[in-house]
Amino acid sequence: MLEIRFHGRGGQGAVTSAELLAEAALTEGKHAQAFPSFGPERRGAPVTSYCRIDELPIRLRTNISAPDIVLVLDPSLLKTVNVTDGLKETGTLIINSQKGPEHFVHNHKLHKIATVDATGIALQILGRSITNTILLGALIRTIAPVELSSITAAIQKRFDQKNAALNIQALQQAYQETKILNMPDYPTQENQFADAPAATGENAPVQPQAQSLWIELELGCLITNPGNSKTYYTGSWRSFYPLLNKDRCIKCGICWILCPDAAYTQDTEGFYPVDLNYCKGCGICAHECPTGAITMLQEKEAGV
Amino acid sequence: MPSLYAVKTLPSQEYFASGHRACPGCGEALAVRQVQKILGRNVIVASATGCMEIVSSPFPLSSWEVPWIHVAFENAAAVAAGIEKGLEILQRKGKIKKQKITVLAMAGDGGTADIGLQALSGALERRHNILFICYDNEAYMNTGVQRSSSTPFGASTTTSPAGTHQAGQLTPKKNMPAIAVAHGIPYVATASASYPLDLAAKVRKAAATRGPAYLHILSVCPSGWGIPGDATIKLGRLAVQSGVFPLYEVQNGKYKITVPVQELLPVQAYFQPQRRFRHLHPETIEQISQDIREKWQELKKRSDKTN
Ligand SMILES: Cc1ncc(C[n+]2csc(CCOP(=O)(O)OP(=O)(O)O)c2C)c(N)n1
Ligand code: SF4
Ligand code: SF4
Ligand code: SF4
Ligand SMILES: [Mg+2]
Repeated sequence: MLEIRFHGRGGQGAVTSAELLAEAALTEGKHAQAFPSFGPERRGAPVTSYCRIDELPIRLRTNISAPDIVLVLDPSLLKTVNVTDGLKETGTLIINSQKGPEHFVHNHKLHKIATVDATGIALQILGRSITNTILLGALIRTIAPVELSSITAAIQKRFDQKNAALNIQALQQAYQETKILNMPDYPTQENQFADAPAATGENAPVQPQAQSLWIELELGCLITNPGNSKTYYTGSWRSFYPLLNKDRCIKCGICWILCPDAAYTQDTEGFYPVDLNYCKGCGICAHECPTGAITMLQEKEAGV
Repeated sequence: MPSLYAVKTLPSQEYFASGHRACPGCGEALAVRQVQKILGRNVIVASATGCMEIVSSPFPLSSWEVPWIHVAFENAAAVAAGIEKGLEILQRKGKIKKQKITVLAMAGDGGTADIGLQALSGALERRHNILFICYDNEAYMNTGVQRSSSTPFGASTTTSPAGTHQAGQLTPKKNMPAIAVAHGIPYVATASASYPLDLAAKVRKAAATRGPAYLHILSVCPSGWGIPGDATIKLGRLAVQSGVFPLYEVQNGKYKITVPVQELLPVQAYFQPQRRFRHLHPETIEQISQDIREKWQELKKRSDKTN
């Protein structure tokens, strides 16, 4: 059985990716399943989806914790999500990145690492940074769990004619441009790169990995630590961040009262600095500031 | 027009903590944050399921800095009623200190106008000393945008789709504030997070009311309405300025428009940015526009009569 995990952001189509792949496997007479990880995460939040493919019926119904293949749809995720968590030693890592695969060699034995500039291809062909079908092109080039023609058939079935044609064009370009590193050919140990996954960018909040195996529950599942959601940094959802120009700020507090994430608090000088650990980058503050003191700027992508 | 700086008079303390998982630009989370600021520390919240429950309490984390109980979809008002009676009896027996504790029930439009309506009606009719807040984002958003009886006429949702057979929601929006008023309760009001001072004043009044109070807050939902996250406040303003969602209160049966609008904006200004209304034909919009103007005149007449 082949187990594939997709890492994307809510709204980017990670679930569609998994479904297209499963659909393609089904048309080849294989057994397959595709499903998202259900959680409270919303648009922009890191999400995972899963796909299983086998020659035999699949009875497993659990999330995939030890995948054979990991696909990363959004390079900014590398800042905060441990994408290689549980990835098998014989496994393959495929990343949307402008960089070559050698940049992602890390302290982990793998079979193959592949990269493709899916965002670049998406912007060029689709006009939007939707990378889900494009990464499938890289997957098929790297490991071919299904035939290219089965994927294109699945895309044709799913999208209208125009969008199907564009997605297939993008997928084929990705297929051509994918760079693959065969790890057994690669001298390990000495070659460890600084910007391997989990590198931290400038504004990168550090996501606590509070995954203790045993939690003592209070009676009735009481949560006895009020407001402990503050340990969860929603700043990692952001693709734009607000920049304050203090010269224009009149200290009116509008940004503060209108932020859904309570990311602003007043400092001793009366300004409202933003807490980037929580700001989701919605842009409300910039839109509503009466003097135009706030500008939304694009986050730099980690390791790019 | 209040001064630009007036929002600084609102409490700096937060009771709805950061780290919640609402979508970027969520108007419902913003409204909850503003409401809790005003209600302060002495409050017990009973929260029906829906977006706000899901995003604020992924176990073992919670965004609530006050006592908060997650209850089922249908019975927020019943649970709040029970809490209120329990507090009353414990205080009377001297088991806990006598003090003012606001008991708040909150629910989405589904949890209020649909499945929670029976429990709500009961709590209002029995005159429980509770505050009920409906966070109305005009559909069942948590489960992926299904219509509710509070979805406006014409809006496209996954269960009232716009297509060749149907142009979105076929029924008019249920008038929940009117239903609350019909129970003869002392305080009913509409509010919007785009008008934080008006909202704060109403939450204060509602919390100070002896007996049931009902607040209906229009909560802009970028994901379900199909707008960018930074347009949330603007859409809330347009809803008020176009007469789609007038801000008023009804105190002991007396109506008062709290945010007067001299000249209503065309409803198209409110519809145009939203994907859920994109399919509407000009004739349908004209028909909706007429309806809104009639309702606005009716509300103005009621408001003028009592002022
Ligand atoms: C009895 C019952 N039916 C269905 C559900 C599933 N459910 C959870 S939240 C929700 C929708 C909530 O909609 P609304 O009250 O409008 O709140 P919103 O999510 O829009 O804020 C549904 C249908 C449930 N939890 N319980
Ligand atoms: S809204 Fe603008 S002017 Fe007002 S405090 Fe914020 S940054 Fe300053
Ligand atoms: S962009 Fe502004 S309003 Fe939106 S979350 Fe960040 S600080 Fe808050
Ligand atoms: S779906 Fe709408 S109401 Fe729910 S969290 Fe997202 S923006 Fe808020
Ligand atoms: Mg709703």
